[in-house]
Amino acid sequence: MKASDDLAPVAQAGPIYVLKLYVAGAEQHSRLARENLQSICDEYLKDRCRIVEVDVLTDFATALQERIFVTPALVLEQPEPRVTVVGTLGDRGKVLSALRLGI
Amino acid sequence: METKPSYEELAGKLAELEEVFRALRSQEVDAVVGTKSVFMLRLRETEDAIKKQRTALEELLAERGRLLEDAKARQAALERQAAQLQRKSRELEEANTELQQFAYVASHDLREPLRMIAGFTQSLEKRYRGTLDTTANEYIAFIVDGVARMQDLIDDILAYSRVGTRGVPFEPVGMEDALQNVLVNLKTSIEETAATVTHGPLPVIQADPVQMMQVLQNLISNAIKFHRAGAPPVIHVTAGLEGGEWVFSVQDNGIGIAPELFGRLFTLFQRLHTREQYPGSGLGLAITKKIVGRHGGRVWVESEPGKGSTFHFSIAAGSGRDGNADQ
Repeated sequence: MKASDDLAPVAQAGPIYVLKLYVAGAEQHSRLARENLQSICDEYLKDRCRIVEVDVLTDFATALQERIFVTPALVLEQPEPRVTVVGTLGDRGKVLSALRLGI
Repeated sequence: METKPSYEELAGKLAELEEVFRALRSQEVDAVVGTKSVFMLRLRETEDAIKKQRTALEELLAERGRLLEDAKARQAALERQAAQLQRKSRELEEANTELQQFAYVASHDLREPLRMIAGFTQSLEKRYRGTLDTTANEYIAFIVDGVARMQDLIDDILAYSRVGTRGVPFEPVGMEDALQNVLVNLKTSIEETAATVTHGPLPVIQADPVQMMQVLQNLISNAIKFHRAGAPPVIHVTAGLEGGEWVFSVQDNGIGIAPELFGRLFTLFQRLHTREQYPGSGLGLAITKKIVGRHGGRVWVESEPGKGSTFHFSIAAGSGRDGNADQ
């Protein structure tokens, strides 16, 4: 992929990313979101990405606290500022720009 | 107190909300987190499931419709068949009645000319005695014999056709009395063959008295007729209550009947022996069967060739049917 070739060096040199993924158990969209996030991390944030998963089925208090009302939802905790992306994370371009990994 | 949110904060929240709505609209969402629980959103799956169920239901409905059509068609066919059978049954009944009447009228009308033949043959014999040769006398004897046989046959046919048409309504019949009357009627042949007729206790039943005597007389005269050479007939009449009906049995020590011939026994004009061996029209058991049938019963036989036979017939116990039904 052309974009990834351009972006990879920049990303490798950047800060540690803390990503919180809110899912609803093993539901279809949550599974897709998990896979998509894993693939983005593998490609753009190798070795500097920490994914924390919150399952709202077992812990919806955390989601409420963080004002997450729907799943799947991804929250970029670190680096600041905080960003939320809702959905299956299938639109890679949009996710990358939200995570400030694109231009 | 919180300070008023800045324009940027509001814009951020709005963007967040938009994002949520977009996700909801694009159906990329699994669940909505409420303040007390989580609501699962399986929209597409649910829709698919509903669609599938709907299709299945529609198919089921169509199938039911087809089945209903089939059932209706079958019912119509059955109704047609039933109507046809009813028509056939009516036709048969009419034919049967006609036949009975025909048999009655024919046998009745045959008697007259027969009587004439018999009478004139006798006149011939008397008037020309001595003037005719041996052959002519022999011929006359043949004619007399033939006329007698034909008279018997006609009497039996008349009796058979009368079972249905001349039956009287059922009344209490003491079968012991009926048997005594029959023994009086058969006195001659009983004495000739040195027969012994005994009986157990016999009940009073609802029946046609004349026809009951006919049945007993037929069975006992058969028992006498078909005795073994050198063995005088020993006949025993009994009755027993079996499952709501009286079963009467006439047991003899006669020549017996091979089981393979049982089926032919009760058929019209079926003779198991030649007329020379045993006289008779071949109608006796057919008449018996018809009478017993009119009383709602059955006739059957048990026998061992060379040992003897037992004829059974059943008549409903209790009030009994009113025999007018088949008149």
